Amino acid sequence: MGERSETALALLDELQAGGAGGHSAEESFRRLCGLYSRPLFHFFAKRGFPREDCLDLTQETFLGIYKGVGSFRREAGFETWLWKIATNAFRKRLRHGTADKRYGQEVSLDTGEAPEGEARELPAGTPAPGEDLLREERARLLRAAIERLPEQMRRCLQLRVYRDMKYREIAVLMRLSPETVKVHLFQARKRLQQELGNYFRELLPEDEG
Amino acid sequence: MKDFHPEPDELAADLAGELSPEEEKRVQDHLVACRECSELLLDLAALGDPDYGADEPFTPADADAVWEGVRKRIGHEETVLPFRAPVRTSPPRWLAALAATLLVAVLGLSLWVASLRRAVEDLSRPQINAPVIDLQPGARRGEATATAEVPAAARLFTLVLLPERRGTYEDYEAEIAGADGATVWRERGLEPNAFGSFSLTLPRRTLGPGNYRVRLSGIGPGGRRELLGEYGLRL
Repeated sequence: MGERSETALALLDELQAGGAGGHSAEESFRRLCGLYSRPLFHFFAKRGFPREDCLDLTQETFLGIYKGVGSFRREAGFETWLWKIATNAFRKRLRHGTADKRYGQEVSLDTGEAPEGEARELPAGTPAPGEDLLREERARLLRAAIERLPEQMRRCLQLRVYRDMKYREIAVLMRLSPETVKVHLFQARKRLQQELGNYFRELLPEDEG
Repeated sequence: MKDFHPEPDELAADLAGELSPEEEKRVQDHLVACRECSELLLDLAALGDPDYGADEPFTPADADAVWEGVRKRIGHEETVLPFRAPVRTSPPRWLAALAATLLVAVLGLSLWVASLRRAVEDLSRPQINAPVIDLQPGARRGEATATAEVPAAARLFTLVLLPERRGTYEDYEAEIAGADGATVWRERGLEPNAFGSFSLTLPRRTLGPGNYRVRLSGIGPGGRRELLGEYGLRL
């Protein structure tokens, strides 16, 4: 447990006790808000909300903390609790459609098609239609080959290739060590290279970590 | 994979490795396909890092604005009293009082039932050598009264009431009063035996230690009551 999290738990204890150490419960809560204002603001800002909305959502999250302080289960961890409240606030606000569209868009890994309702745009220097078809066929072969990989290996490769995630990020999501992720990616590439031969280098460039 | 987002609880449980293998597979496949959920989960993992958000342009004035907003919202929050203890929610007082009352009632009822059972058991068992005490009339006249010496082990004892005068009545009644004159027991339906006396068998526990008066009455037409004898009794 981090130092900030420990401080937060101590402040929660004070808040539950109605204040301690010569200061009021309000003061304890003010200090708790002070500890997590910036991280929460960042949490919302990186999801594309305007500045005013980020401040508002940060306040909303603290209000959720205040209202739920009586039912807080200490063993669940304060930061996990804070994150859950913030995530719910984020999703609720997203449903009301005030966040930028740059966030929250799902991309299908199965078809490579554009999201519904959006036309696919061909970038500048687009190859001729025949080349495009060939490229799509190769991509289809690659996706099919990836689907045949062992489960964990496949997930690591998909996060790396389609989502451009770092080793340590993949490791966090898959609950693996970064070294294991590296091994999975190495073996995945090796298998795909054996299966796809010459197509492979073109479709799946060397991984630089 | 597009049709659901796991709840925050489920995502956090996945990060903590607390899901079943089936749930874990479903959530992890979703994370591969869903940028929103995977980035949320990365934020949860990073929230404990002191550097999380360190580069965010967030001034002390922003922090003050957040706090002022929170304070104002708490003030407007009707469901929570401002900075009282909304914590460790205890049951309402009336509920606690009701629970205590019920507990006392149940305990009292249990004791009463237990004592009743003991009494029933006492009375159900045969008793040998139950004392029979002849009571002579005369207490009304201030003469010597019979003293009932009931052995400690006796559960039942029988009083034989010899009436001071005889007559024929529709019914007969016996009454026992305490030293203060208050009636502790009364019953109609007595019938004289072949010798013209009346018998009365009592459980010892009916009367505590002390002095009593026993009255025998005859009930005539119209409910008219005539005293046939009064007896002194000491237990």
